[in-house]
Amino acid sequence: MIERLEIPAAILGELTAHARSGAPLEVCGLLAGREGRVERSYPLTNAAAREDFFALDPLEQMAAYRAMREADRECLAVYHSHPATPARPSAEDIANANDPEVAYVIVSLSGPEPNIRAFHIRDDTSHELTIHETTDEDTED
Amino acid sequence: MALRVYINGRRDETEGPISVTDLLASKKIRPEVCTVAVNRAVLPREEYAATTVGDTDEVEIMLQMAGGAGVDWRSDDR
Repeated sequence: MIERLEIPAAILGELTAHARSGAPLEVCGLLAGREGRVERSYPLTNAAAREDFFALDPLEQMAAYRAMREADRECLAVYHSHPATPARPSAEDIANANDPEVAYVIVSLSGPEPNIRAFHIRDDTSHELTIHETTDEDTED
Repeated sequence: MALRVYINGRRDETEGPISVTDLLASKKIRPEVCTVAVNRAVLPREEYAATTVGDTDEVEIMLQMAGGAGVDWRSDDR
């Protein structure tokens, strides 16, 4: 289970840009790195293509995991956007959190500025994780 | 050599041969919340019971990653 999540400012910017580009639909993807430090985002297709629901495309999900392994990275988090609602796990998020080992990052566009928060979801309960924003922009493969 | 299994990209090992149904049960994964690929080919769910995987196979289990805002949020609660 991820205990600490460091995300470079550049990748936080990627998440916001992805959320804005997909709005009003929700967008989603994976974050990979090492020892809690995110090194790369993997934007994936929202197979649900809805404004209030997301589902990772399983084939893209598999390809992303393979790419992570080839780069000696692990999946640290799944992210998705809430275009019009807060950055907190909804009942849908909690009910569909099938992997307790990763963090769940939510990008909210509901306020004047984007809001990005991270959570652990396990046993139908969510706990917020602090996101440590870093300035290291090493996102090379 | 153990059967190579990856669960959401994480390496796991299991002794084969074993059916995909039994493999999922051994990992406490419900079939309805995952997609399974054997040697990179997605396996239809109705073939899980009849498909046996062994030491030369690579099994990738993608847990369904889903959710979303739903309709249970107050728009002013940020």
